[in-house]
Amino acid sequence: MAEKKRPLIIDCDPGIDDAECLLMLQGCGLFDILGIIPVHGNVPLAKTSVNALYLNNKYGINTKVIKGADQAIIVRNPRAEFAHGKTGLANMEINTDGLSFTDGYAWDFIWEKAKEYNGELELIAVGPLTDIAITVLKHPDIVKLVKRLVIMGGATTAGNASAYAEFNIHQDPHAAKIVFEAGFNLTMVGLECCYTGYLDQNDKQKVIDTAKKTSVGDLIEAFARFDEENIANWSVSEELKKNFYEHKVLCDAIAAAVCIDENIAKYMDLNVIVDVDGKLTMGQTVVDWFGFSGKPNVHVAMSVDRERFVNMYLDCIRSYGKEGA
Amino acid sequence: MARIPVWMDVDTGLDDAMALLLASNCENIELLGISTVFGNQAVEKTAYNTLKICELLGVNVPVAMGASKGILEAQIDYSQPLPLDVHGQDGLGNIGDRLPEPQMKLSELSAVDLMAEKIRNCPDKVTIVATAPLTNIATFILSYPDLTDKIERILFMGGAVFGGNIKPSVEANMGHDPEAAYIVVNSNIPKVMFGLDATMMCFMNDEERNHMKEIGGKVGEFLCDSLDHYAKLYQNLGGLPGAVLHDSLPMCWLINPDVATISEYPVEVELSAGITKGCTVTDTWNKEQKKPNMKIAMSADRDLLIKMHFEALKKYA
Repeated sequence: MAEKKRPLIIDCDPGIDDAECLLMLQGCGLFDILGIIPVHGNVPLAKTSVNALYLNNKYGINTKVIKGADQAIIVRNPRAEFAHGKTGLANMEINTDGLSFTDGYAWDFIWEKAKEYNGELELIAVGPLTDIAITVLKHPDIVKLVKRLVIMGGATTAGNASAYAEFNIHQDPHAAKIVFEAGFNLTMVGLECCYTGYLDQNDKQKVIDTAKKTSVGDLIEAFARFDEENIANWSVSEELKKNFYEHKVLCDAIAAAVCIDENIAKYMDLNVIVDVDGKLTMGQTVVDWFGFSGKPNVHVAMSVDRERFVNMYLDCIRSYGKEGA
Repeated sequence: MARIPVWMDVDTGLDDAMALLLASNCENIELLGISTVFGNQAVEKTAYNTLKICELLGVNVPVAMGASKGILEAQIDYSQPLPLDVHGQDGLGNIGDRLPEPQMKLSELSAVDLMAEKIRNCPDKVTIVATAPLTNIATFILSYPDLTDKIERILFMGGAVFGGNIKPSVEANMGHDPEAAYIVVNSNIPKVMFGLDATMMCFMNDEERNHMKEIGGKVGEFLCDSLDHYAKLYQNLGGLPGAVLHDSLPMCWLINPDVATISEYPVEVELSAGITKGCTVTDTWNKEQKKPNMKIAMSADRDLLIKMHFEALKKYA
């Protein structure tokens, strides 16, 4: 007998790695995906929302796509077109003719589903946390109504949007602070954890070869092509470019893997404070390694089993080959 | 003249009660409903007090309970006496128990949902009068972005061009939720700020306060007595000749703009941690060369404001 599927809502800002995250969450076959909430982030909402609509159809998820927030609660920080292309999906031409959004407010949808599923709903948020924060502000009881919240965001050492701030948190630090302090069963998949799940050159080739035999081959190949051309244009040292290229990190896909099977990662329970005050540190997820500041509020994923992740990713890709077979 | 549809957001609160008195007795105002928030007291108390005051005044509009804490600020512990006991432990000058248990019930909707329903269904744009921390209004702006263009403008009591009352340059409503203030100030909705510069002029002296008793029947008597402790506090602490009716000013101005002189300046809300967090930083000399983003009441006509209260009270004689 097949196990009952786990109810899940996905908040994302596609985004190339969001596309890889969605690919896994659908491909693993474990979830009843109740809705996809696109949020502003890597690129503006006008683009992330259309990309979400496209991916929902492309992967055969065929769930509701409900637009989330189009801007952060307070700050206005630059987007990440440099990493995802102008459209957010590696400058691919995408067609969403005949596809439409579901009306309604994302924060009300999340709350209503949480109540309906009576403590079983899981949330994964791999973009800025604006929608989740608005849900907390409007429906404070959401915190106890969801089983857990997995986020891709934050960093325990260096950031990627500023010296210490990771991009998703940096996009909306106040939202992150609201979410981190709300009392969720919260798992943070930060940058360092994502780095441990990199794909090497061999894995990258395997991904492409596997994808070619499936309905997502065009997408995966387009992402690989974009990566090659895009990294070449970055204004960093050749050594760093080489390093980026040879160790491909799919951040949001790592969060998907943690969501799929929490045993893939190692954790520390820590008190993590989102800074919203520092001129230099705004958006930093300040990790209190020594417990100076109080009780742990976050399960911090420290590392993933790289081999398991790569195999999980390949398996998820393979699931798209079964279609029409 | 068409009546102005108004939504009120309050933390009743002694001067909030006075603003309710004004709103409910002006024929030009159509009060659509009231949301309550923490501030002068815990939100459970401000909601309860609002129901009581509505019944005292004969106001029959829906009342909904809103936020119990600021967006990021820690919850205030209202179980302990506040550092400065302005509104009494019950939020009504410690005489709230003179009023009967309210028959009205709170709306089953949350504050922002009730607001959204009333604003969506109103054929005209709605004016918001907020005399409390701006948490509910900010949450409304965040969660109903499609309805913000149905708001005519927001008149809020809060902030100060110069000075403060909970910190040297921070006014209480702003200081209780600086992030909410920031969200409201930076929204595209037209705004008028009634800060301490003007509201501190709005005192009611003891003679005037006692006059409410003479002309306003039971309502006048209750409002007069409720303000007793509050008036003494201002007299002792600030050397002012009476009870300062901050929250009355935006409502009075909506009814009669002669009651305040208005300027326009660029205003930003300070969010950096420190002694100025929550300050409504007003660039009066336009050092930053920015366009004004709101109107600001700079002074008030106290005599007119007091008269307007008397006018509103007559019906209860």
